[in-house]
Amino acid sequence: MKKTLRITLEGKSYDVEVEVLNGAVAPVSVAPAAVAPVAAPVAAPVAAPAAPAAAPAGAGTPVPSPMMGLVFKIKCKVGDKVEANQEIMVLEAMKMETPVPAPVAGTITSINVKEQDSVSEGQVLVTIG
Amino acid sequence: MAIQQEKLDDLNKRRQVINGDTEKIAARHAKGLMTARERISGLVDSGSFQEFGAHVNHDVRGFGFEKKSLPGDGVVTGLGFVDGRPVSVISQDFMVSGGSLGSKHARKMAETMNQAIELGNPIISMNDSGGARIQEGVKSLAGYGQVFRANVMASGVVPQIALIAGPCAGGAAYSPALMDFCIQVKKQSNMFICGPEVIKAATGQEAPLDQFATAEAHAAVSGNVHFVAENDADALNIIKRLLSFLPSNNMQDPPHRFSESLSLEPDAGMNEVVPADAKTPLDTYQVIERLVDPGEWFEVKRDFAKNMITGFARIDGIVVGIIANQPKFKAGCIDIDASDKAAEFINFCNAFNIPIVTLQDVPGFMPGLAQERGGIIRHGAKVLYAYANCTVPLVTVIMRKAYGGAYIAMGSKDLCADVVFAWPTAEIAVMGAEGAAKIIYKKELKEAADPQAKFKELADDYRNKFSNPYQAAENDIITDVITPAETRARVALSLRSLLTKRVSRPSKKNGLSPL
Repeated sequence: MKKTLRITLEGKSYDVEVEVLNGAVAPVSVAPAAVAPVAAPVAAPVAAPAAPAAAPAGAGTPVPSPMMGLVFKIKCKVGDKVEANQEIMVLEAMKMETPVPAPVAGTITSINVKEQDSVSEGQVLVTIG
Repeated sequence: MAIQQEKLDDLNKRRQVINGDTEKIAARHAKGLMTARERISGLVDSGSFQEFGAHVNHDVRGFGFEKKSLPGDGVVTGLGFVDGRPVSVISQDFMVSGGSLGSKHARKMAETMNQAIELGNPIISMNDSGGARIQEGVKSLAGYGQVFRANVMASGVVPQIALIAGPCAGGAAYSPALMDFCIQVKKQSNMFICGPEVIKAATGQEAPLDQFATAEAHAAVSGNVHFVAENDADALNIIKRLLSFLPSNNMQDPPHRFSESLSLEPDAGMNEVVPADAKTPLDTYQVIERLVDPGEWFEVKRDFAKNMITGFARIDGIVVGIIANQPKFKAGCIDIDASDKAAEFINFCNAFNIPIVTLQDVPGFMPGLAQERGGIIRHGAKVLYAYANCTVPLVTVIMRKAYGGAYIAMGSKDLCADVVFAWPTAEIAVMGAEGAAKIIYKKELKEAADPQAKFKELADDYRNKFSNPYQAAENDIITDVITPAETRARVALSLRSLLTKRVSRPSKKNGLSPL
């Protein structure tokens, strides 16, 4: 069974033919739709028509916790502009305060924890857009 | 009766071919890349390079190779001088068959390294190769075997420095891995065992190169690379700077630059570096900056395991390796990566007669399920092994926290150190006061009318008794208690006094460091 789907990516339309095999979706071909005015990029096989990425709580670069610990102090709020390496949060772990610097410059788009929360290593604390 | 002109012309023509096709050279320059020969001439003192085996060529039959000439068989090798000190150099030539490794190419590499062992020269190996020369089949693989063996023979005898300046894929990546230091250039180079296509075919995983193969990925994530270079010229400067701290071989001392008189002035600024609140992390970089001679700090693996700082320095002219906890990152805990980083660096320093200065501020080994499952026991044991195995002078400064097994591991007196200083802020104890009070006073706490108040009282009591350097000093497990301001002078004086240290140990085939 074949289905044709149209995907619009940055203003270009692509018609994607999808064949359903035993419930699995296999790529067949990708061709620029007639409306596409410019040369299509190299036609890499597309595993499946990707659903639009689910909008995260905050868009941008996630800032993961460097280690497990307790959120001691949050030094930013949503909407704040921050510089790269600016201290945006302080964790407490092993009886020591651990600063969390912003990995990139930008605007805080979400804060996912509150003070006194326990966090694990890699848990997203903040996103910077 | 002069030599026939045609003989001279013939040699000249051959030399031109060996030096490379001018169009290919121009194409490399257009991409911002140096040629194999330019990398060598950029590294060594002007005019000091002596090439070995320039006229070597391949002997592959079939695949149309009979008609092909591969000058030097794709690698330039020889001897040169860097800052007046001899080095052995290997530089793969990407312009010749993509730098592919054939049997003669490999033989040149191995011969250069074996000669370096005899001469006591550091080995600089510049990698820029597409990998095995497939047309040579198993002869090419055999060549890799010779290269790896030479790397292992040279290990601990002469310093080995690898530059990754282009592709370095598959088996080829194991030669840099067997060497002591690896410098990778941004953008123009990749290093991996299996590339994105192979990973995709075998596992279905999408693996973009920037996640595992670039200079940045190796420096920060895998830990395979010690230094990241912006371009070829930057890489050569890094090699020169690194060599400026190293002896040429394990029979020499590193290039100390003794001053005539030792300055023993206190440095009041060091007292300012220590935060008043024990919970506020100390920035160990500030301590290092004040401890070492101006401009004489050269960090190794800066981007990997930032909770453990390693690097070369001079303290009053004496070359040292510094190993330091960094409480600003992961509270300074020793985790798996920090263990590997420290152990590797300690092993290098000991092999090449470089005294070690340890700066300790460590709350413990990193707690966590992932750490335990990842083998923090065997990884942490590498640090213990490396330190205890040392015969070089060791000076340790306990700045603040020194808890439990991590205190013992970080260059303690009973494990290895010749001299251990502690600042008055040092907390040398089995564990933190709260944890200790809970265990020792379990019964009292249970019976107390107000357990919380009692707990605070008992924890404070424990802290006053044990969270200081004086228990350790009374028990002779540290040398002395000194102020931060006195540190530079005391460490410098100790190092001067320890340079004659000689240790003899029972001989053995090899120790069995945990891996």
